[in-house]
Amino acid sequence: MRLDVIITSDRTMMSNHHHKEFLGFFATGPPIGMPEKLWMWLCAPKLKVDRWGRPIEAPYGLRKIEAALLNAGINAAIIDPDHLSRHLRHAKVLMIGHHDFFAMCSPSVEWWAITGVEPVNSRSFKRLMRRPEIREAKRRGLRIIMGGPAAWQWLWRTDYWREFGVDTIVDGEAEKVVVDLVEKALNGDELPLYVYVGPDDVPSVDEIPVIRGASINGLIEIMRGCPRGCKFCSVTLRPLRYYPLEKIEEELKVNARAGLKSCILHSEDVLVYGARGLEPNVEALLKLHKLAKKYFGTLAWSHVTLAEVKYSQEKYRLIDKLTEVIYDEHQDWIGVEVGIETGSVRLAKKIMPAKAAPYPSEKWPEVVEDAFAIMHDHRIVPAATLILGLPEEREEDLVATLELLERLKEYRSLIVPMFFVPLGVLRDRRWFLREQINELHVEILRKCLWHSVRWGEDMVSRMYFRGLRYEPVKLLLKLFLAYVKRKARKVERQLEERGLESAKRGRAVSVVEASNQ
Amino acid sequence: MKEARIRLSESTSPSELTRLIAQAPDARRIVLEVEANDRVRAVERVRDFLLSNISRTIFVYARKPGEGE
Repeated sequence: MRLDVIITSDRTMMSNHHHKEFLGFFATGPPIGMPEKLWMWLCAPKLKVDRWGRPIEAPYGLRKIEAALLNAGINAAIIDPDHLSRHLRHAKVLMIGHHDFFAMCSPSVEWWAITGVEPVNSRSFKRLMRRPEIREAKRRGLRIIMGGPAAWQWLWRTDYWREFGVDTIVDGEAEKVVVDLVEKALNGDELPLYVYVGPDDVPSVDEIPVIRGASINGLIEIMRGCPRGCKFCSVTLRPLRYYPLEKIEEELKVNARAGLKSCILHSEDVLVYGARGLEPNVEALLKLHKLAKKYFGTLAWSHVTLAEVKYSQEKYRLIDKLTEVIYDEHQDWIGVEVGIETGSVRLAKKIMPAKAAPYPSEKWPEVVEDAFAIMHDHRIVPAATLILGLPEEREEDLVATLELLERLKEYRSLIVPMFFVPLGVLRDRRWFLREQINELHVEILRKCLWHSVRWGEDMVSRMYFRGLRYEPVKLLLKLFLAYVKRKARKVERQLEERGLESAKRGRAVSVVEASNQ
Repeated sequence: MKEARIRLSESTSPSELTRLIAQAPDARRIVLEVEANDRVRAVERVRDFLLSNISRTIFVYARKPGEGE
């Protein structure tokens, strides 16, 4: 097999995370408390590949690019990073996609800031790009194109752009521009340095190709875009498009044929699939879930919004109805990501005015708590995000967030505070940096840590890992959680004794340094 | 879709870019040819504009000073 175009990524992306998507988040962390190799095994074990080094499962975004190129008759394939050498001898183009090339997204950026240690996703990507076979191929004229949701990071890290000899960065939905770019690259024509795909150039649903090979953990899109328009998010810049059920079924079949046993329905808000505005389309959602369960024993949601959980349940009993479809002998709980972002009504009005809709922003804290209660009752486990350092954030906003966290204590969930990263409409704003952390931020970080440790231990023991094959992972996670608790207490003591400003100057908030004392 | 092609010479300040683009308000796709001695430097020259743009499709090409004018 001689490929013209290789599509790949580093190991943190090219992994099914032991078929536990949540473990993939450990790739955003620095390797602390255990050797990096063990950390990588925990969050990013190697994938099964065929004789040509093509992974059985691959990241969904790469599968879309692969499908677009194959549909255009281009000789391309996704190749596992351990099998690049033999293909690089002949290939003319190397395409790499990533969620977080340089650990600049949250939460990577904050783990790095707090511990002072570079997260494994960034380490792993740089190791890939520094491999001799890639450098050698580059010297022979290989053209390198980077893309994916973290493409914007290259604008901040032009030093690596030079070091790795990257020809083109593509930022945005690439299906409509990628074929032309790759043809130019194959023909030796001039390539643009940077492409930003604006809203008028995103593909229509019909122009989005169906994946040709299985996606990691059976993740498939059911729609693109989001109607809520939160200012910190880049997804809302793109138009809303729903995949028809027939197209969704084609992709479910691709994954089922590859032997996958579960699927993840991907959307910024699964509960608005097929909606008119924000009014849930109960029939479409029930059909979607019945369809997914026809092919897979278990399913998960990528994201839902808290307002939609509350509204759809209160008006249509939708959460009752959907969990009746989802839960059976294969599955009795479901995990999902949700965004709290802030407990402050004032900030919610400014940065995410439609996040609470159809409820007014004034009710945002109530919406969050009610949605958490509904999810708790239905064994839906949210991994929730908060954003620290939003533009125009005041102390009163942080106090409101702390009050909300107090109200969420008894609901099974993980809550991860994230540092503000300038994206979406706010992409020209200032980053939130370690130097700006104040006492209230620390209190939020602390509250979230203990909340997540408490519920994390509960989930590791009772829900997330069932079956003997998960015992090694489970043991490692338990040891890691014990390590985190021990170190967190140490850091808390240091903060009490020396104060935050002294700790920031002396870097005493670093878990790593605390561990060395 | 209306496309505009804009060249930013080495002597033109990148802050001029906003004014040049304002002259093509209907263009949804902009091809920027940026003069610089080093390819990546071309992107660095227009980075602030790229960070603030969200509504238009942008293609950035590097040009050696005086090349292909």
